[in-house]
Amino acid sequence: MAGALLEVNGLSRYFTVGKRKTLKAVDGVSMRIYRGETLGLVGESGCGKSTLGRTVIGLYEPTAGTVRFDGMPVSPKRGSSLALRMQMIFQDPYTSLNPRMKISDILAEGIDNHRLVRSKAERSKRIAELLESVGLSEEHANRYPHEFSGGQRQRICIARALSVRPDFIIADEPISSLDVSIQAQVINLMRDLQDEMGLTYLFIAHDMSVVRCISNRIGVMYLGSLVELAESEALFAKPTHPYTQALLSAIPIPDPSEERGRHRIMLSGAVRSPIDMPPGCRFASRCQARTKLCDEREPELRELAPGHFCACHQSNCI
Amino acid sequence: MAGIRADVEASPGTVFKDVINAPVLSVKDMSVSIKTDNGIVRAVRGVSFSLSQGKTLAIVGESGSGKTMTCKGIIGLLPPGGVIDNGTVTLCGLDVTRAHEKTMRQVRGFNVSMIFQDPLTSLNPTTPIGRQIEEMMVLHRPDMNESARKARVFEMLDLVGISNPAERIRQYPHQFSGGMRQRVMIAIALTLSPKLLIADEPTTALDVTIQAQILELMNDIQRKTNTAIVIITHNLGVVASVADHVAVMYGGRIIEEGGVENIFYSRKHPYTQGLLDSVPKINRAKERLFSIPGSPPDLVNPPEGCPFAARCGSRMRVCGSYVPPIMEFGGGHSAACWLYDKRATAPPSAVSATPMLS
Repeated sequence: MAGALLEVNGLSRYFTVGKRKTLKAVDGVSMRIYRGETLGLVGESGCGKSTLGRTVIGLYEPTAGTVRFDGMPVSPKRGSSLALRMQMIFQDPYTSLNPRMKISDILAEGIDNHRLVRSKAERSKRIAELLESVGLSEEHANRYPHEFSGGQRQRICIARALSVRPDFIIADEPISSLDVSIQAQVINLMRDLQDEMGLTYLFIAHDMSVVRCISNRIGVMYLGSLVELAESEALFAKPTHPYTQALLSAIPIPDPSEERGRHRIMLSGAVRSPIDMPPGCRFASRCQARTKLCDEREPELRELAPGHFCACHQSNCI
Repeated sequence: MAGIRADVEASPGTVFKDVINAPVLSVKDMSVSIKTDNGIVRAVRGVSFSLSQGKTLAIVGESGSGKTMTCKGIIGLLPPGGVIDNGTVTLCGLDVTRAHEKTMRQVRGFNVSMIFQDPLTSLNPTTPIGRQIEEMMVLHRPDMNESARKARVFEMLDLVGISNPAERIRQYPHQFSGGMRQRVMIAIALTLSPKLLIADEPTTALDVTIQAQILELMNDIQRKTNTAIVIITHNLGVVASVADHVAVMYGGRIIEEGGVENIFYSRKHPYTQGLLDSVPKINRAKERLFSIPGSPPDLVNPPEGCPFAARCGSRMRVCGSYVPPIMEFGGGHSAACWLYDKRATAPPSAVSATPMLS
């Protein structure tokens, strides 16, 4: 791997709720994303994975911490120069395409705004290329979004992200609104495009098995912070954080006999609210290995084995 | 929990005629069509299956395959413009398709209950959850007095694993987490001890660790109360963990049906094959996924012949013009596919041998 493309340092994003309460959606996340890799980010709903993605790309101003992309600081103010290099794909392809715009105009919006082409002919050639690269054809250019199925729309969203030739794409739950057989098409497409264009992905999803089949490394988030980060293989072979262990054991496997003989770690206890969180480990309320220390001090992300990071007081080595 | 069933069976207003060993639910050749602005959608086109007490049937399929409409047809809650235009549905001995709406109201609650995908939108936000559970008894059990109803509410909360009931019954849905709300929905659905519970994507809106708890709860309740369960899902992992029988739907038809082992280990239909192969496996590393090309058929103008023909890698000439007959493979395992006809030219082994990469 050729060095970090994206460096996130102590990134936090808080929201104010009600009068004096703070919701810590992302709280002190540090990580690196290397050129050409896919970093998968998993976690339950409300754990801050989407907020992290949006803060990284500069859609939200961070409350604290920095994001550096290829050495340059990212902030909403200097969006335009980085917009050509960072793009985003959203979860719902039904609401993220303007229903009144033709596919050709949707795809060319970035191209036109940044004046990336010189002539009309070049513009339509580029649109045809984009459509072809995502498995659609030139004749789709003059249609409107409602004429396409969910899977096709997600392909259009991918083509739109590719239109400005970015290096880095943040995909926020890109397949969770699609049917199983269509999910596979979109994942394969994303992988082919990565191979062809050398893209780097931050792939956000809640489905562990989907994340596994596309990611080189996986980060697990819990209530706003990263609790474990490791190479995919290492994470699945030796999950270290008690939350990761419970998460992996909870995923239903599509194999009845394996499913029956399986031991599940059942979590009890309530999920803490991210609003006005008490000190200590965020996972303590549901953790079986909880000690006094866990209630007092928040564990830091430590490197337990080369490349394997975990934030837990109880796990010392792998 | 053993007392609950006896208590309800003896109660007035119970509609079912109990026949020993008869299936709780039997659906024969049911078709459902729905009038929409774009034309008449043939949502369900002749499905048949049956389910006995204490068993779980999983209906699997993509969105638009007709799985939800099949279940809404069974309990008589089709959307406006929707009708069952053919076939019979026998629920605890009663033909639901001919029943009067008044009878159906009795049937829903006493004999069959349904839980939905999103527990937040199915609960009333302005009513404490205790009263929402009690409502079932207020409507259907005039013989129960207030203290009996309260006792039953506590019993139900205990059954679904909600602790501290005295305080919880006074709280409103927004004070519950997603998993807790789904537990409340299950409590409401089971208050009158129905013979059949229909769960439409009950865990789709929940997180994985919570999903595991709810599935465990459903298995546990089934052991205690012997309720038959129809679960609609698109998650094959969920199917593997709860189902006894599986019906795979595609384009408004059941294209394969069988025991859970049959479907996972000796599937026959190319669609079932493709569906199982396209699921990313948690125990396999980064790899290229198998994918079925194309997209599901439009049910306003359903294709002639096999609904899957257009996407099928083993397609033969006959598939596009004639609906395949249901082929039996023994042990309740059947599939609607021409490949298993004696006259088929392509050997059935071709089903697993040719990956169709898009």
